[in-house]
Amino acid sequence: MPKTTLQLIWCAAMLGFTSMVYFLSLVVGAPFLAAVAVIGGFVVFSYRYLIRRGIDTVSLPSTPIAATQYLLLIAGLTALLYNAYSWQKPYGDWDAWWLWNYHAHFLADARYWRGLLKLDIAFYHPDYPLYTSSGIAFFWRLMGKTSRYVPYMYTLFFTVATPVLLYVTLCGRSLVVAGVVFLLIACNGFYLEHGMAQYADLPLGFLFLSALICADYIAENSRNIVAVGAMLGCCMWTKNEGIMLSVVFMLFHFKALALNGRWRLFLTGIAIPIFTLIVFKSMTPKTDLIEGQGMRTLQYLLQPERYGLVMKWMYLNFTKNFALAGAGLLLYPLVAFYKKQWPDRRLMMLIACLACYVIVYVMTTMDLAWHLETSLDRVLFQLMPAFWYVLAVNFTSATAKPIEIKS
Amino acid sequence: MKAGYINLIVLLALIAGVVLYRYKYRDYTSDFAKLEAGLSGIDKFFHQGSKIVLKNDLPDGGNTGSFANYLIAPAAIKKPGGTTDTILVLTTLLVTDSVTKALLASANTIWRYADDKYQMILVYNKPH
Repeated sequence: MPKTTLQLIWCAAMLGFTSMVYFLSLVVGAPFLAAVAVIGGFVVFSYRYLIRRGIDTVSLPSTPIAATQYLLLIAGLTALLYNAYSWQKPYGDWDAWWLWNYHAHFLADARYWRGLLKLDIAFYHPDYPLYTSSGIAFFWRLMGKTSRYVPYMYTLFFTVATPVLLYVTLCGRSLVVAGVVFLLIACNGFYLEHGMAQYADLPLGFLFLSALICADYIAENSRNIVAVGAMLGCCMWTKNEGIMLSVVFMLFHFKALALNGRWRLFLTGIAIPIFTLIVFKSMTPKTDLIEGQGMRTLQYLLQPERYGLVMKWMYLNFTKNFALAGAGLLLYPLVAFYKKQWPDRRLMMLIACLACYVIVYVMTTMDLAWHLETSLDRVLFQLMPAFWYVLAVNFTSATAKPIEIKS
Repeated sequence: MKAGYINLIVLLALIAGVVLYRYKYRDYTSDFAKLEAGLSGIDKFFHQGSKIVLKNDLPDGGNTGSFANYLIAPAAIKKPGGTTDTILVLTTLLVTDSVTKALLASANTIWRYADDKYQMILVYNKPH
């Protein structure tokens, strides 16, 4: 795995670990300094033993076109920052301060943080997992004040890290494809708008993409299974949708993650996030989408017009906001036919995730049209980094080979 | 490509992103910014059981009211009705609303903040 890929994934994992340890420290009433010590100690330990020693890492090959690789990276980042400037908002979009950073305000106060759990679920969704909120609260407490720079830096990190992660991972396969993907994302207004919104959708998209990349490198080193587990655990700890995505991921990668004793490694990675999530969920009210289910759900599932409406909105979203992924999906059967191969399992997994979203929308207890209008674009956005990666890998695998590994 | 160089480039990009954000909002004076400046530090007047209601005379009352609720968390603004012990008044420098005028005249002021446009007042709601 390219070293930068691993380091970016490690950064996201550390943000997740920070939020989990901080939340657990609030639950048990531990002093803030103890949480800081545990987090600081683990950051140093994990970097020294997992990144430097434990997992084999490689630098991208130094080739005559290395200068082009750097130039493309700098050009992509410059375009991204230039375009993102107009999408910056001082406090993020509405939901950022209405939900995510609002939750952080509670968690930043060790005395009254439990007030978060008593909030009205229909308005403030106290059941939403805390990857971003708890992490932001930790840094606010570390600073001794609530600063709008902390949530902004969170959102900036993921907005920058997602295309960079794709670029450095794809670079070894095809510089052209990696560069095109990077520049298209850097100039994509929809991506930047949602990236700068300070919501949890982009972190979830980044973490899901990271899990997918780590899974691709399991053959290189079985310890990457730990990283897959940690990334899926972070997905669950980021949004409720992350739980569903992770389950689908595990089902599609069951053989690689669980058989031949590999489940132990997987469990090592996912144990802390799962434990934290269970503690959190045991304290919060049930998610409104689950709470409202009953006999009506069966009726909804048998109504073809609901499926039709969801598919229509999905089609509109793909054509309007995700044209790149949509075009790739349409072209993919031709590529698979040309290469005489079965459809890629990762792509099938992403399509299964889309199918799960369709079912969730069909079953929703809210007004379906309203629910689709207000959330479908964000929900699809979570899958887009993974879609871009899988499509790019598939479109390059015919001509390019992954970089060789230096032990 | 060396991982160290990539990290350096990414780090510089993140710093540039923060500088751009700081530059864009260096003189930011929206209603949200005024509320953020005004309500900072108000939390020390609240306790967990505070029953706070909002009297909001600012323009765009829905948004400014919701944003004030965000800023004072973990204290929370209650829905109108029932017993309350504290009222947070958001109003213009020149108070024109008769209800607000009467409220300010009859209640004990706990805390007050004013900028060039608005004033924010926390008052104790006398039991009747």
